[in-house]
Amino acid sequence: MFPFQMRPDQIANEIYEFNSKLAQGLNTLTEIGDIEVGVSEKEVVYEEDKLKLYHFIPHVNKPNPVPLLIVYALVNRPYMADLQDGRSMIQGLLDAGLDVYLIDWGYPDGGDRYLTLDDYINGYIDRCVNEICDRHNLKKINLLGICQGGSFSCCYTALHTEKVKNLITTVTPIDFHTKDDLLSHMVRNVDIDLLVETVGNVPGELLNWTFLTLKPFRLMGQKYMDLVNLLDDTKKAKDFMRMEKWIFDSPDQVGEAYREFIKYFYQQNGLVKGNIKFGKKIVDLENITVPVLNIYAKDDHLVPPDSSKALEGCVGTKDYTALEFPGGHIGIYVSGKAQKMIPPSVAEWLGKRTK
Amino acid sequence: MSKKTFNPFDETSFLEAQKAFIDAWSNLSRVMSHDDRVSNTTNVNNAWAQAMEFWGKTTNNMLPSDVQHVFTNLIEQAKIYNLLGEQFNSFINKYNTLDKSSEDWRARLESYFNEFATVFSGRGNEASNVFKQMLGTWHQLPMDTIQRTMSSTSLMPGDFLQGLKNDALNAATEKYLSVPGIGYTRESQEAYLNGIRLWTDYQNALNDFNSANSRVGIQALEQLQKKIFALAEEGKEITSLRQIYDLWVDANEDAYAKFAYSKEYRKLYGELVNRLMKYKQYNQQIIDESLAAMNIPTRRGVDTLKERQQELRRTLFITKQTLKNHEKQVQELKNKIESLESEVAKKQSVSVKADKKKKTKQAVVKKASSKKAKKKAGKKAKKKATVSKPKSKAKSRSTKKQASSGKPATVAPGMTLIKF
Repeated sequence: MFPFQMRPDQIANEIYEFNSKLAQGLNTLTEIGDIEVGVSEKEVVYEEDKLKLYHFIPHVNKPNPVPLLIVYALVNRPYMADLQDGRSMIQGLLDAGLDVYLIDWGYPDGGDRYLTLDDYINGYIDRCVNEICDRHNLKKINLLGICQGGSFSCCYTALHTEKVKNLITTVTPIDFHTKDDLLSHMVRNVDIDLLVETVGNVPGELLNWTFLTLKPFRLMGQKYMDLVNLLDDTKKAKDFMRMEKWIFDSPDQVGEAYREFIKYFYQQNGLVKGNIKFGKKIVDLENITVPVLNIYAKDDHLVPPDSSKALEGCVGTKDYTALEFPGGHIGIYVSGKAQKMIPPSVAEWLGKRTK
Repeated sequence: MSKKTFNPFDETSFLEAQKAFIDAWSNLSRVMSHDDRVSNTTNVNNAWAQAMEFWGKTTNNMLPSDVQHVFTNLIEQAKIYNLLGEQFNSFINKYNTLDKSSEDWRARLESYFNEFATVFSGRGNEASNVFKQMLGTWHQLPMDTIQRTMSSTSLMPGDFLQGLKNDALNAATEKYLSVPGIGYTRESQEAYLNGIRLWTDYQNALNDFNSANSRVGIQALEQLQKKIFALAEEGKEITSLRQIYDLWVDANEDAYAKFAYSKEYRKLYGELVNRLMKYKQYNQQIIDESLAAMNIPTRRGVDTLKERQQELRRTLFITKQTLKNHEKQVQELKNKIESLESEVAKKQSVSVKADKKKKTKQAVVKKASSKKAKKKAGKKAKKKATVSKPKSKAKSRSTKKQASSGKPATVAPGMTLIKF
């Protein structure tokens, strides 16, 4: 059967309607105004270089006595975890009775070019953990890593197991050589030493395009076609723009840390092989004996689920829990489904292990 | 006066013009079926796409900066949508000339897609341009972005040699590069030749990458054809252009993923980045040499400073941490000493009390014995005074006691106390 059941004049009309929607909807874009991000009240409790350690004001009188430190990735900005009212993982965690801290790495510049992963993990993260321990008069806190921040959290826990009470990883790459890891596939033949020596810090714009190139036709085309249908609703259009702002808000990557991450993690798969060395210490995930909650996204196109799930076989803990989220890499933080599922699960899991 | 500010999108003349155009196009489509006429329609529609692009460019500047890139992408997609509409309109027009009951449409669709494919099969620049046209802004694949991003580190703007890439130029360049440097400026000649060689290497890698990319377009058309046939077999209908667009996106994603996960892609991508970086690094070296000649700090020099500064900061942190640990240790030791001192003081105080008690007891005992002795001595003295002379020993003992006790000796009645 001939599947095309449309006449030329219908096609013409559909194009006309689309163009009309586009032209009229652009009106909405001019009226959107400033796009605010970040909804939860917070204060800076520690600063170092460009790093800021935020403490979110608890939503309950007696929060969980062991605070939770969120370690964000070096890629993109951490306000994605607190995007807007009703679409904020942090808001959910606070509502669920947790005391939440967050590391914001800021925007590195040329002066930061030689910061290594050792500086980030054994330096910045460790000093933030110390600060929180001092503030709460505790020896251990809970750690939650987001994406690359999850890989860092695993390294930190393996190296400083005495300072971590519970470890939570979300959409975290562990095995960088799974078959469906396109990012890993792309960089395998790149001479990363040459690249970093040539460009120094790696431009954020380049990373943006790399991520979009994983699904170019959907992320750079179809998405905007869908937007046309939202343009008659200012709120929906503003939500779209807020997400768009986050996607393209990409700090440059510190050259040395980028070199190490691509070489040791992506090219050599060192986290699984256990041959990554920071300073004089080797990162052995077997050293992670604290309880671990590993949350991954079923439809993640950036960090394939298999890459995250590999954590189970690497850690030495006897208390390991895996949680699959039915969505994508970003949806796990901002979707309505995630708000109902992720923060309550984290709070409940922690509640059982911190009282 | 209305508070509403002027908004270019309130202007409806554009939409009215478009409506008139689409109506005309639609009427034209109804009456035309001949291929050549359809081809003419296509050209007219391209003109409309160009008009739309012009409108987009003029209005974009009036938008807030945050939404400008979204607007650009919207216009790009609208253009693609229009092109897609035009293409399928043409196909449906062709289909109208067929016997509706026949299955000839499959052959028609295949030949229609083959026409596209022949355009894609061109090598080098032609293929690359077709790919770019089809993809709108999507042609800005990572390497193009790398090139634009890195242009600031180059002597020349990143894209300025785009138009010069072809096989003939490559052949001429190879020939030129084979000439050895001679004379006093031999070294610099060779350095520049090396630069040209690196640039040529990069251009070849870019051509290879673009050629391979253009195959994605052809494969996407094959995928789209398969998807349409599959729908027909399932008895499903396509009732809107948007449905075709979504199918087209799926087909492209499938074809792209197949290519992107291949070993060929990994190799081509790696080659492209590496060769571009070599070329950029060469440019940096030339720039650094020029700066050094003018006694201006070079990038290499600044990098060395940054690296050393970071190393110093690392040392400083370690020193600070060591100091902090030492301070902690010192404080702990201080606390320990204080606690020990207080323990000692406590013990001392207990022992002093015990000593005092002992001494008091001893004093009481001594006092009692001294009283007894005195009593005895008094008795003896009385006896002696009446019976005989007192013994010198007894006298001396009494004097000793007096001296040791510090108390005035009790003088027996009838005796004189002599002080020495």
